[in-house]
Amino acid sequence: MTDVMKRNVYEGIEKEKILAELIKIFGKPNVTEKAHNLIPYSYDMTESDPKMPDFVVLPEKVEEIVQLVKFSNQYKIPIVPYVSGNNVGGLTIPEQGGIICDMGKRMKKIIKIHDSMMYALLEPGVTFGYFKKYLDDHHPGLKYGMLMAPPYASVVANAILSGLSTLSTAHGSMADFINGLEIVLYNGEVVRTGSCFLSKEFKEDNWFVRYPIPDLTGLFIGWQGMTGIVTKAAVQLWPKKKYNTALLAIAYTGENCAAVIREFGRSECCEEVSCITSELAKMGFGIQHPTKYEKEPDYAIMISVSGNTMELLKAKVNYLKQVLEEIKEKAEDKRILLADFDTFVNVLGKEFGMYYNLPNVLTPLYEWDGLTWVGSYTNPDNLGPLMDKCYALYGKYDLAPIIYAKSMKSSHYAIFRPIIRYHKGTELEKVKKLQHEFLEIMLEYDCVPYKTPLWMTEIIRKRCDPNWLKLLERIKDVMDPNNIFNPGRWGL
Amino acid sequence: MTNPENTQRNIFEHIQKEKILEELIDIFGKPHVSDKPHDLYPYSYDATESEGYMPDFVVLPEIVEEIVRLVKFCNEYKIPIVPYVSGNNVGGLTIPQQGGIICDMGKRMKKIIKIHDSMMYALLEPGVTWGQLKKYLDENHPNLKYGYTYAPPYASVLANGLLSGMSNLSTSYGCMADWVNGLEVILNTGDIVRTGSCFLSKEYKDDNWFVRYPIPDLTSLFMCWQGMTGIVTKAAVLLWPKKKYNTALVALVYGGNECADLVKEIGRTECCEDVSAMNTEIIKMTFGIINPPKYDKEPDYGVVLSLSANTMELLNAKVAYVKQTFEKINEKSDKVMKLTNFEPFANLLGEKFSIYYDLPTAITPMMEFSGVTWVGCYGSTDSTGALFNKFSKISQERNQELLIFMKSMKYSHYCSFMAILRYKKHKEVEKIKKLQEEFLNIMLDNDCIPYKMPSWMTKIVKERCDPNWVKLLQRVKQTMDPNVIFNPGKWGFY
Repeated sequence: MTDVMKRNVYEGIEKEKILAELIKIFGKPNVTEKAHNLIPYSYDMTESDPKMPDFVVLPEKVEEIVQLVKFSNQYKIPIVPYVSGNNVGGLTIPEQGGIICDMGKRMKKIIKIHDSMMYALLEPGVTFGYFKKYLDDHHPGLKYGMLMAPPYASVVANAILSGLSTLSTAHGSMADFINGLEIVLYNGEVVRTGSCFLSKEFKEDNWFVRYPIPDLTGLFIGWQGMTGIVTKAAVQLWPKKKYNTALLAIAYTGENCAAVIREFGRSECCEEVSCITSELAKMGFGIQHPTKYEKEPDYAIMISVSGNTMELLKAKVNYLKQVLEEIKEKAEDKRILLADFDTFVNVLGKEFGMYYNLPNVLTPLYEWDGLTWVGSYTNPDNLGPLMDKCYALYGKYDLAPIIYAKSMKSSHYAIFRPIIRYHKGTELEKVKKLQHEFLEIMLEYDCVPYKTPLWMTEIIRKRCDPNWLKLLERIKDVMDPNNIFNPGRWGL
Repeated sequence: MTNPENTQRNIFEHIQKEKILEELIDIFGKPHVSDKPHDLYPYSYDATESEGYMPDFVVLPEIVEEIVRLVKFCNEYKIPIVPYVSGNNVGGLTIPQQGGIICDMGKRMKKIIKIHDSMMYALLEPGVTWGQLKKYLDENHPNLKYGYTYAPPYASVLANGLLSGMSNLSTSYGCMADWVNGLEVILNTGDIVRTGSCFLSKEYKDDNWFVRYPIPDLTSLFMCWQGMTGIVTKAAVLLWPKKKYNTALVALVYGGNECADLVKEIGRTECCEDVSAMNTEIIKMTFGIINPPKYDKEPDYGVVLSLSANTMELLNAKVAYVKQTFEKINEKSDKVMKLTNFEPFANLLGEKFSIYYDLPTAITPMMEFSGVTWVGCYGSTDSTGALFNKFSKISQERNQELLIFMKSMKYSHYCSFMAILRYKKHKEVEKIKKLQEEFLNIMLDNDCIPYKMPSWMTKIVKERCDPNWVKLLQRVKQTMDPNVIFNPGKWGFY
């Protein structure tokens, strides 16, 4: 939906020479320019327009990426970092062609789990599923936040894009979990940021904190790969508690649902407080095209609580019950229910447990070939009206309302995310229109969209602080003067 | 330790002094500009070992537009600007190493612009102090709190956030840099830029400063940069829900390793807001012993734990788990530790002891002499025991009093560690400098990251760290401040 200037990748060098150089760097089995290999990298499930890359390379070592970047910088060839392709918003679609640098296949090492400093040093290809299993098997006292995404999604990509997890209600967005990064800069220099900067040579045991030095880590967070290629990241782990329980609250209005999310988050007793619409909940027990009947509740809110003693766990749950009573007292509609999650699973079937046992593919979401969403960070106070307005829009477009919301960082803010599954062939234009309407409402409420596709950044650019854009451009220019890193993002 | 590269700058190279004065008076008004030595002198030094330098002017801005004009003017004539708030900082961070203009925002930019109750943030001008914020919250927003420090109530909240200081909530919520939602900054060009979620409006508003991400993180360009990339004129910082019930415990500990272990494990329970240790000498100072001796068989360290909850049931459960954890550590150790409630302790030792709990506060005996300085760092919870022991040994050998402070940060993902030295500036500064350098090298050998680093320290760090990190630092500095007008001299930039 956005015009991105076309670039002739072969302006400075012939295609054959590029191929020869890539083969020299990565070895023949790890380079391709064949259309059938390139197509999977040209699109995602969202409304973003597909674009073909010219090459795909599968690096194994940082040194290979250094050579790639130096070469690409010399000939001004775009490089798009890629891991699992599970992302949305067209973030890894090569807007100007060039080379896909797929780190998901051979850069999958868990380099270090530091038990006492509680961090993991990871390569970009480490997935949530692999990571969870590895921790469970080798470091049962530690855990990482998981997410409603397939187990094959990348931990590092989620963090540098400031995604969310099952620990975000307690500890914030995944960008807050980052201790440090290793990055290949446009000139081929490998730089380490955060506390690991304090050694001339790379070591694996000094990645414990991001500050208190000048914060160069931020140059690569939320930047969608536009400032360098991140090749390692250290992320925080958390002590796993002995006792865990989950509750489920049922609410009939957007306002009540918002109140539960906000107040439960603010209680600082929950690891997670997140909500889904009834339609999505129903999909959880196998109804692929759920209808909602009158008098059925609109929202299900999942709450997870943990403690190192039963006493602590019980005291937390008791306090939550007290908070719920306070919400009810103030609410117009008194119908808010709270029960053990297990009870629901027993009634509704085992499949419903997938909302709790993450990471997981919520299979009904992947029912058709199209899946997209407008995700945002928002004021928890605005969740009520946002839910009501977006809920109504789904009706207008005759689509099942799938809304996801979450309390973040003890309800300092919240996630609000209307999701659309659709048939790409027949419904694309309709979905694009709906997305625009969602975005318009969300921007009115000061929501800050995340993992923004191009059409969205174009709208944001027109509405935001113009000096912020100037500074963005200034930094992009110094970090990537030849605009080789994921060109086109944010209109740069 | 004075930086030999500290080439002096002739700030009157491009414009005469009289013309600068004229321009400053035009911008700020006569009562808010001075070039008189008796006004300038207090800005030329701090309590630490950092060498003094005189500024040429001091200005007292009231509104952002004045600073915009100042920056444009200074950028044109390459005149240094050093941002300043309360002067309470250490490490010579606001000492004007190349002269120029002190931009003192502590006198007239003191507005608490907004407390956002539901999004729990405070939007502040640089001059807002800890004391002011605490009083304001207690009176107007009794359900919210901010973290406070072992610093005088007149210290700046915003400066502490930008420099990644710590507070009595850092054990749970991390360093103060983690609390910054967004900034308003004046760039070298005079552009005013807003970072964080507040970027999403063409005009400034006070109700959209709720989160730093998920957009490209431009806030980072000003975090821990010691004022080298722009002048921060507003910051939004996180507030936290105040709990109904509070309590505190004190542990008495023998041995550095034992103390470090205790701080780490108790922090990791996720039950305490604050877990801070200090050596017995500091504790004694509190009840008025100016030069406290330590006797054999006295415990070496005191650890203060503070806990809170919204119900008594939850508070009791937390206390019980902390005690259980404490007992486990005690069992493993061959040195007996004691854990007791804070209140009886305070009753026994005198009311003054409660300053460890009732912050912000100045521990007055620390300021007893003309000099006080420290080497502070973020470090591994594993290496802190070694630091305790090595530092104690060295100070005993040198017959130098040593005050040690340690805190679990972000549930013991790391800790902060601080060796504090009080001294007589005229007689002891050389001795103190040597000792500090020795301490620094031990910290660096243990992978600790020094914070609020004075210039002599950044010089050593730059020699030991990733050279590509230094190159990137330079590149960003060059882009953000090509004429090196913002606090020149820091991190070796002139």
